[in-house]
Amino acid sequence: MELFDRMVSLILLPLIYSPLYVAVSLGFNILFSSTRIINIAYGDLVMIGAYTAYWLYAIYKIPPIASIPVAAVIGIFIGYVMYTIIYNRILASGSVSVIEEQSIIATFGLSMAIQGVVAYLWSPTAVSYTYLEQGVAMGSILVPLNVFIIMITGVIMTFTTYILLYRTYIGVAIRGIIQAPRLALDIGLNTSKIYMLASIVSTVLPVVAGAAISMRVQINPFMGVEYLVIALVITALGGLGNPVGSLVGAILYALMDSAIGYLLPPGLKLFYLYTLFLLILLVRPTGIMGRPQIVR
Amino acid sequence: MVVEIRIDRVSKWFGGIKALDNVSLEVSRGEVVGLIGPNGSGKTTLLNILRCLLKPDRGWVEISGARLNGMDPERLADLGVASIYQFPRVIRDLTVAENVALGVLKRQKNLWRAELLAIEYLKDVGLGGKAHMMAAKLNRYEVRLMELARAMAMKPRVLLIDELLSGLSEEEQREIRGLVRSYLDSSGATAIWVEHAIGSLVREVDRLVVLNYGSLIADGEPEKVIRDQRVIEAYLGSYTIA
Repeated sequence: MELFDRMVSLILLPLIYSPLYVAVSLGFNILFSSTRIINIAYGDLVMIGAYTAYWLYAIYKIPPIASIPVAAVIGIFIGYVMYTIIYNRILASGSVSVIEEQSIIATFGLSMAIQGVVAYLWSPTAVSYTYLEQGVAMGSILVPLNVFIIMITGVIMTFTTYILLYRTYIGVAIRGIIQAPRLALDIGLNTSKIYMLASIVSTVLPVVAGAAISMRVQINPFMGVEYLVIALVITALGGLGNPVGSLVGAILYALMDSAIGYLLPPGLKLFYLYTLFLLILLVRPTGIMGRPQIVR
Repeated sequence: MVVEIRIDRVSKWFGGIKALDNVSLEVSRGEVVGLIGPNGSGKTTLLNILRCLLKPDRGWVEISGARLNGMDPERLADLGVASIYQFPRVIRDLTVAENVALGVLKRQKNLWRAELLAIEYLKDVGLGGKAHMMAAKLNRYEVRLMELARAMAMKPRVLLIDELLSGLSEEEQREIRGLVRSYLDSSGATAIWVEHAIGSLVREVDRLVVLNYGSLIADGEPEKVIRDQRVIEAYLGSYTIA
């Protein structure tokens, strides 16, 4: 029984959480690999999703499961706005290094602004709520139902995104166009439309993820940083520009996280985690499944 | 005969250098015109003007009756113009079939069917077996074949080819020339085909045009043109071999 419990908490639970990690990191990965834009405000999108679900529940008693479609709509809107106002201009420069630099600066400012406004509106104090906290017994460990909701949401998001990327025309264009933007001209492909769609996909994912995890975390204006780091780590681990790598990276991250938490003293957990991450990158700079990025 | 491409007294300067000097050319529908000339003669410049990447400083250009004057290059595909580049644009992270399927966009939005069409064109150029391979693995010759398949997949009315043969071996050149010619024969597309080497297009084109220092110096039957003294001098310099 003891072994089973240990396996549940060390392996099964991380695996249950990993679909959400995949979804969280996919948005970042897709945006970067298809447009070379680095969105520092990415984690704040998760925060927006979390607050959305929180307020809908706190004020209108709307269960988080119903908030998820609302979060998706908000995500689409934000993605559209971010593209039109910010990304469009940055992408017009046409140079990869300029795009990367400018996007970091612009989205960093955006991130500060978003956090400041939210802290002002809703106070920096953390809030939380409980929903579906009843547990399902696995061994002698009680796993709350909402964990499964999170997992299912993560699986659906990941699955849908992969279908979009690999089985639709738009997905192929999103994945490929950054490597041949002049080809787009010749075959009559509207690059603005493609980049806008990539932007929208990359905002819907974190906002919906935020709505899903809102059931289990302390919601505050600054919670986004953690998710930005997760997205960065998983993207780098799994390989930049490789959406399947996000899958591998997320599972690896979840397992690493739980192994370190189990084996090493708790205080320095983050330190060990990032050291391990650094070591992996030193050995394989492009990530486990990454392809060397062609810098134009 | 319907004029598909009309180039009317086009001149183009790059700073102080006159790249094109009063060039006029009319290409009828279904005609295949070869465009050759020594390095720097303005062939690629002329082609880039046709592809709307450059604007002529003087004169104008028409394709299928539409005046190309600062038109968005994206709209060329709507006009039925496809081009094959000297440096093929390979999307390395997609499969060969996906690369070619991108060319089918205008006709087929469903990816599954687009890929099936793409595979047909890949078979036509002999790449059928590599359809599901990552494009990054193709060698230089195969990349050209893929580029050709993609252009064919667009079912163009006008095909603009920019130095398809450069850097290929004798046999590769022969093979790909044959593929292009048989495609042009069966599709009836109009084409302007730019190549560097003087004798490379003699059998494949209906008409041969030669540029030198931006000026058109010959325009006629391929066999005659390559024997034209002015053309030979343009390539070799004007001294006679004693």
